[in-house]
This record gives sequence, structure tokens and C-alpha cells, in this order.
Amino acid sequence: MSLWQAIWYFVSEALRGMRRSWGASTVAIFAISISLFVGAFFVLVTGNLGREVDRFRDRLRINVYLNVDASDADVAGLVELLEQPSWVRTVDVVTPEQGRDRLRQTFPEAFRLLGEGEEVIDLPPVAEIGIDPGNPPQASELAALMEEAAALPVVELIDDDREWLGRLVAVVTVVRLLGLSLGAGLLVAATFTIASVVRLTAFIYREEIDVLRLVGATEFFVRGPLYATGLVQGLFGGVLALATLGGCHAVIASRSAETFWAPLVFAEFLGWRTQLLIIVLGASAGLFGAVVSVRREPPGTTS
Amino acid sequence: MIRCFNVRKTYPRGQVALDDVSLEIERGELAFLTGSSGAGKSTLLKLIYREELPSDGQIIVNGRNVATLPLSKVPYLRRSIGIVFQNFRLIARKTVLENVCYLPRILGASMKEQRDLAEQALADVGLADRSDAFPLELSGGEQQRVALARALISKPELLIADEPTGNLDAELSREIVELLVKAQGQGTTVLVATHDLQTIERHGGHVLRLEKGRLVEDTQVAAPGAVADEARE
Repeated sequence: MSLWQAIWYFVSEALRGMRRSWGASTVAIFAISISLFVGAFFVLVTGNLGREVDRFRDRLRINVYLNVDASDADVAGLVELLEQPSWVRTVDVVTPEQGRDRLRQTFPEAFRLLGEGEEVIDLPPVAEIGIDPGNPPQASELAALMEEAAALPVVELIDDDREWLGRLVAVVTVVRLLGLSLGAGLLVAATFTIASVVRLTAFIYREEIDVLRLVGATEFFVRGPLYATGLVQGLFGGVLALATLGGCHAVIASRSAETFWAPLVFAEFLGWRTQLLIIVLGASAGLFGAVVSVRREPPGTTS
Repeated sequence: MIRCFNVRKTYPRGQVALDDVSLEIERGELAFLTGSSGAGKSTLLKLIYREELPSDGQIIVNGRNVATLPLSKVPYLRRSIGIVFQNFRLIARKTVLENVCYLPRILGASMKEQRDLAEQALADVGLADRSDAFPLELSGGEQQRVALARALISKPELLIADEPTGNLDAELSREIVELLVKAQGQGTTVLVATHDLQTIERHGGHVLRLEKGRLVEDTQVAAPGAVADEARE
């Protein structure tokens, strides 16, 4: 028997067996589907959150506030220091006059109440650092530069988004780990469910297994349909999980304008590689469960 | 075809099923293994088709020492042996044709080849028109004929029948035995475990009688009605 003939036989027997014990097979498929859905859901959500974090990171700006009485030479010295690293894309100096203009544009009413602010508001010059998104710094590199800048007597304050961005990244990482752990735990449970279902299938087919052995079937031929049963159940579970997730994504994405969070966590669906991985994971878990269930001797009275 | 040398089989609880059995069955023979229930007939057959291993001694089947045959080689031994049981061992949810097709299928025959072989085998046992029926729609005799067709589909060198007529009435038994004799006539060595002495008397052949696990008679019965009185006892 050729390999293709064997595969065809195994799969057709597996489908026939699943049809025969459809109740147990459905439970197994749902079990693996739920576990993969949970894992894939967290991958989807954290993937989109991660992309949002990356976008924030690209727009990350660091503002270095100088003393109010800083001279032009102080400003030039600071700019020279800040422009040195390759990952610094721009250093824009905002003069006190430009600062007042921004304030006027942003808060015109408050500015007018303060008597146009000419004398009341004494703003310091600010150096705004733009990071090159294509060449982001290591956290240590960024910290070293900020430390060096802070050490200058002319620098009053450094304001950057690193702290809250770091917290956001930590939250995303924890959520991802939580989701993957939950998914992995459920996957293990689903694998054992499939193992039990395959064992049950083998028990239902014990008479046929006996006959197969009596007429001279090899163990590969006897066990093949059982392995195929686990593999097909896992495959169906993976496809079902993806289809369900895809449906949820489509529904939520169509109403994304109504919520603030939907565009953040459901902006994009999983990439094809991730989708393929989920299906392969389901099939592998099913196959593993089947192998575990008949690793010794499939039920039957004939050896 | 089959040679046993000082074969002994004991079960874990110490029960002796076979004790120092030595025998020889020539290629193409019709051999009857007889004896009362518990004499060791089925155990000896199981040793021959390697469902069990002897505790001691050697068994040579068609040149292969089945006592030392690796487990991975057992399927290839069984492909040269057709086996029939008292309870038929047919799969109720499969059609007659599907029940007969097992061996060609595992050998990789195409669907058409499987069908052709199965239909020929069914025709040989007189069931050409029942290929689409299910076993439970058939009489006991017909079911046993299906089992025979399954065993004979690849023209095995050895046919083993363990009490093939045990569940059948006299008329149906005669039909089944006729089919066994027909297979022997086509060159297959046939070994039948039975306690039906009338069958042996009718056909003659090589008679091996077991008693409490020991071979107590090994004779050639040439003519009908010539079974020894000892065997009848």
C-alpha cells in the first residue's frame, strides 16, 4: 500500500469513526477549539495592543527644560550633547517666545486672562528630542543620555513618556503571558480529552482491530486510523477556533466606532502565519493525544 | 507445512494447556485436530498463528519458526494463513463485501481489485448475490461462508478453522466442511479443530487427537467411517 493510499484510508476511517461516535468527537473538537480560541484571542488582543504601543513608541518625545535664564550658548551646548546618539532623529529647540505662542494657541482664553502673558508667564527654553523609530535606543542608552543631560547645571527638568510606556508594555506582556498560559492549560486538558475519545473509538472498533490483526495488518495500519482521528479532531478544533474568532472580530470591528477600546484591541486580525500556527497546533495536540492514548496496545483481544 | 517440536504451553496460574506436543502436517493435507473441550485444540491453533507464544518447544509454520518470530514479522506470517472461527468474527456494520476485503485492502489493492477479489471469493463460497448484505441479515451458515471467503480471498497456504461448525446445524456444517475440503483440493493446507467425529468419518484425513494437552493420537484416516473407536470415546 502506498503512502497516499494509507493516508486516504486512515483519514476516511477516522471520519467514519467520528461520525459513528459523533457525540464524543464533538466534545473533543469543542474542547480543543475552546483552548485554541482562548489562546488566539489573547494573541489577537495583545498583538494589537503591542502595535499600539509601538506606535506610541515611534512618537515618543523627550522634553528637556532648561533654566529660565539659560543663555544661547547653554542651549547650543545641550543640543550638541543631545544630537550625538545615532537614534536621535531631531532636537528642536522651543524658545520662550515660541512657547508662549503655543500656549496662546492651545489655551487662548487663559492666556488673555493673564494679560496676554507677556510679563506674567516666564517660560524656559525647551529642547524636544525626537527618536528615530527605525533605530530605537536600548533603555540603558536612553537612560545614560538623560542622566548626562540632567547633570548639566543648565537643565531644570526632563520630561519623557518612558515610564508610562514601560508600564503599558509590562501590562501587555502580563496579559499575553496570562492568555497563553490559560490557553496552554486548556490545550493540555483538551489533549487529554482527545486521548480519551480516541481510546473510546479504539474500544468501539476493537472487533475490527482484531480482524485486522488476524488478516495480517501491521501495527501502523491498525493504529493509523486512530492517529488520524486525533489529528482530524485537532484540525477541526483549530479551524473552528479561528472561524469563531474571525466572526467575533468581524462583528466587533464593524462596531468599532461605537467604542474607544475596539480599535485598540481589534484593529487587525491575526496574520496568516499565526492562523496557520493555530491550526497546526490543534492538529499536533490531537495527534499527540492519539499517540498517548494508544502508545501501548489499542484495545482488541488479538495481539 | 506445520511442524511442532516438544511444544509446551503453560498459563501464568500454572495451568498446563499443552504438554510436549510434537506433530507434523504436510503441505496440502486436510488435518483434523480433535479432542474434548479443554484438551488444548484452540491453544495449539493460537500458537500456530502466533496469537500466543509457546512456553517451550519450537513451531515451524511454512519454514518460519513462529516461536522466535519478531512481533513486527507476525503480520506477514498471518497474511499466508486464513483463519476461521466458530463465532465468525464478522463486523456487523460492514457489508459482506467489505468484510471480505480486509486483506486486499491492507495489501494496497485498488478499489476495483478489492471488489473483484471479494466477489470471486464470495462466488467460490456460493454467496455471489449477497455482497451488499450485512452479516446480521444472513443465516449462520452464510455468515460462516463469508468468514471463509475472507480467509480464502488471497489463496492462503494454510487455512486454520477453529470449530467452524460449532454454531451450525448438521446440514450447514456439511456445507462448510465441503468448502474446507474444496480449499484443500485447490492446494491449501487445512487444519480444522473440531469435536465433530461424523465430519472426520465422512471425509477422512490426518487426525490429531489431544487429551489434556497431550497428543494421544496421530493417524491418517483414509476412508469414511474408519475413525478409531478410541477417538470416539
